Amino acid sequence: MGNEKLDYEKLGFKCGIEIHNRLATKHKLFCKCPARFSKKEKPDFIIFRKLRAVPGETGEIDIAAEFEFLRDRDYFYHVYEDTCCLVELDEEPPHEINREALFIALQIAKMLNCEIPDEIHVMRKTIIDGSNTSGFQRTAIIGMNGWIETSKGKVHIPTVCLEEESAGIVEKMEKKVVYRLDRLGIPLIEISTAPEIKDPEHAKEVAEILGMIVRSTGKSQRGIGVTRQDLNVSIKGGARVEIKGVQELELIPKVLEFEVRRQLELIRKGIKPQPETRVAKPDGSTEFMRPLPGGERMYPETDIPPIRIPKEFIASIPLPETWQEKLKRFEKIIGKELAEQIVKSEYCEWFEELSKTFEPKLVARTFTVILKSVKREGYNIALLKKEHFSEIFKMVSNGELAKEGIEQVLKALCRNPEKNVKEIVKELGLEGMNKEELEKIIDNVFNENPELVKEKRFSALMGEVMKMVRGKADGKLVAEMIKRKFK
Amino acid sequence: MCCLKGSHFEILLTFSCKLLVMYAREIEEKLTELGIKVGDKIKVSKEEKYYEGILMPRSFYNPDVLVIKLANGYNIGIEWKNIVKIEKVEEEKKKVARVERKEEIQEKHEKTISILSTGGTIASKVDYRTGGVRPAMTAQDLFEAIPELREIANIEPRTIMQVYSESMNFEHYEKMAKEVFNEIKKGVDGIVIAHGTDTMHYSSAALSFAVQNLGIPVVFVGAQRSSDRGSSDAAVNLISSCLFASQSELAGVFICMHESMSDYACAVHLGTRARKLHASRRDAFKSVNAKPVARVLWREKKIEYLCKDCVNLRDKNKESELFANFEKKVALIKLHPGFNPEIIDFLIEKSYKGIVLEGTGLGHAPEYVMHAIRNACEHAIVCMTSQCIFGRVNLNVYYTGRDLLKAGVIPCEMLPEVAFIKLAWALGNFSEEEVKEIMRKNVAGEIVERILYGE
Repeated sequence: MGNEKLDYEKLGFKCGIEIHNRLATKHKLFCKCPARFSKKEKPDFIIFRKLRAVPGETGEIDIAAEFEFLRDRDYFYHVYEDTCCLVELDEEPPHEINREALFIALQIAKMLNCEIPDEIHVMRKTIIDGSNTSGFQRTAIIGMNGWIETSKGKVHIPTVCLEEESAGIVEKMEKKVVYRLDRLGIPLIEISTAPEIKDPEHAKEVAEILGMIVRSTGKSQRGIGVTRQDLNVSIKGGARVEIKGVQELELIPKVLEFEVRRQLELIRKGIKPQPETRVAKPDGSTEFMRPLPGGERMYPETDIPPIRIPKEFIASIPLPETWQEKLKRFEKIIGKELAEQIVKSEYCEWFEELSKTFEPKLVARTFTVILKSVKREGYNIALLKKEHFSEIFKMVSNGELAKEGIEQVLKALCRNPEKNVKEIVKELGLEGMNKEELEKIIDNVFNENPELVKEKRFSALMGEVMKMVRGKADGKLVAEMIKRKFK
Repeated sequence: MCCLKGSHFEILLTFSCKLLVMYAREIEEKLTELGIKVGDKIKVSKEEKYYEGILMPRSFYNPDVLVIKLANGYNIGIEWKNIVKIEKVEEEKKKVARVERKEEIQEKHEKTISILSTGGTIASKVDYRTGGVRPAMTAQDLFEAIPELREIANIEPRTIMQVYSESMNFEHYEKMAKEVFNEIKKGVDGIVIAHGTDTMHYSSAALSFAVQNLGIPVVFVGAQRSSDRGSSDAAVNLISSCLFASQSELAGVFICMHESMSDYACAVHLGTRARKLHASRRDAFKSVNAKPVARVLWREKKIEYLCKDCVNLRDKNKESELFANFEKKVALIKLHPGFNPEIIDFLIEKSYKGIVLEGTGLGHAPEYVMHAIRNACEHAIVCMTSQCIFGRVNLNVYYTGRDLLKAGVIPCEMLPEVAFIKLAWALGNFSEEEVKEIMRKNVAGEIVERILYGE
């Protein structure tokens, strides 16, 4: 692939994105199962199913559906009784829609300046790759014709949908796919933008803003896979390609650029790119998944009565603080740069909570700079819990752990998430030094470097001390003690 | 209310086909005035906004909300009172004639079976526009939906009625029995009856008694999930029942439905021993007090027999006999604490000829109902079954039971539903004395001689 800079406007770059975010509600969308993953190690039982392509309205079988059917795959479903009932097994009709999820979805629709239908109708969207035991996904339009403001102008939001999350893949083989049913039915918010995105970086910005809006409800689940972006992209002479499952914001520009270059390369070779669904790989490249599904995959879910949404009710829905307001508030405490990073971060909520008790700048830096560096080295930071962080901050503020040791502790926690912070600090030998020990070391350094002391070379002395205590003593404290000794 | 079937389709159908789902009168009038019909593309203005979409039939909840299908396929409802203006954008596009598939000539198989459709989820097709279902069971529909059927046997599908099983009646049993009898006369090797699941076990019992000396398998089949979904059990059940109808070594009336929640196999139950034991699961049907007689491994095209000697063997030369009359003045009554004996008195007043009681435990009735039962025995045949479903009736163990026997109550060691159908059938075809004997006799496998540990 070439490396020349692309002029997206000239290429006729057209792009819209869809973001999907799981909601942290008490129950699933259409049953009373808890909306979370199972805590069990093994499934309670496994069921086997086949799915068939069903002809649509015109008697024609959808091309995407037929594609899956012709694969003649066997589907196996892992059933966990703590998170699955007969509804997930497609053995019982859905219950009424989860009101908590509906409320959050309406909040989001309002924040996105959407019109809200007078009556909400749940639909069935045909999907037969096995990820829904029923053969369709239940979905409803909650908001329409909204918009957001971005650095490159307004981007419209044609739809905000509330839908059920699909089952998670355990294993995929040529003729057999294994899914786990605990994820199926967790409420999922889907926000789609109009194809008004100007370039790959703009796509990232739009996704970032939408993510912040969803998180501002305080009801977004967190962790890997909780947010997924689908990208729709085409260029002049190319074809519309849907890229599914981009989990990292940082990857969006890369994936889009790769796709544009892939299509350009095909066009150059005289091959017409085909409309298709592709799946994103962690390196930003994509691979073919299935043909692009045609229309008419949608028909009413007659098991669920339509839901009337009175105007007065919409008016009464309170809006959470907007991300812009939040940014302003944070700027005052931690400065512009950190504030910008933290509002965009998944950890914004934890920051808010923990910065009430602990030094806000330290908390903000941990959730942004430090965590990013840990993640970059390949650690699974999704394993880190809020309790881990609050324990770390507590130890730092008590002088039991130096700030400089935080990164090491987090990495160790990712390796052994079941251990507690104190144990890890001890194992790593990072227990903060008490003042007496530190005093001794400083005395030694002073004694060994009389020249520097005489000339009051502060930074040189500081360097010498830190060489010996890095990770064990807080630099700020060391500086204070040296200064005091000068007097 | 949540319909405990696969879906609400059945209710919808009643509304959309029989009553026609109507918007509020004011709306209907306005639409007529504007020349707008369901299916037309319309533009609805609401304050400063407008929506374009296809006008959908009213869902049966709020008649004052207009439902339109947007271009993206989603439906939304718009309150009539918020609408400022409605315009017709486009007349409903008449469906493009279906792509005519070449009528392929069916391969000639050795065996020929008939599929008689009576209605229910299995024989319905979804109208993707409204989400409602409509009957569809032409040969073409069937083979298009389940091409595998062509590989099993020569299949002749025919719709004999369109009834949801909860609405089945004795007339339907008579018609069904006659149709089956005619098919047998034609010399088919097996018959599959597509049927709603709610009362399938009543129908299978009815046919078990109505067609005597049966030499081929008659297999009832249904679906718990409608065929619009990729996950429908209709195909697996139909394939399995056709395999069983054409290949089985057994003769008799059976029910063939999912064996478990998985799609591995179907269980074949004797028509007089099965019951719908779950409101919505695929494996709702179970043999009670007995094993299923066979299982069909549809993927391997294999039949596994579990109880060959409890059923007759296939014999095409057998001369079947038809006893298709059913006495309609028969009732099935569940006894319970606080049961009012007037209910029984009422039936006698209305000159009911037969009463099947679902007693508690081994087949008991409250003492204060005894008087009414004694009186009933003088005017009608009264049978006792157990509401426990599993286990056997025995009126000899407690004195309340012995009193019932003394009063003339006939203990029936079979499922209450089967006893009910059997009594209606016996009264419809035989004299009172014969009926008393028939009710105690095993006519169609309804009495399980030995209840085993595993059942």
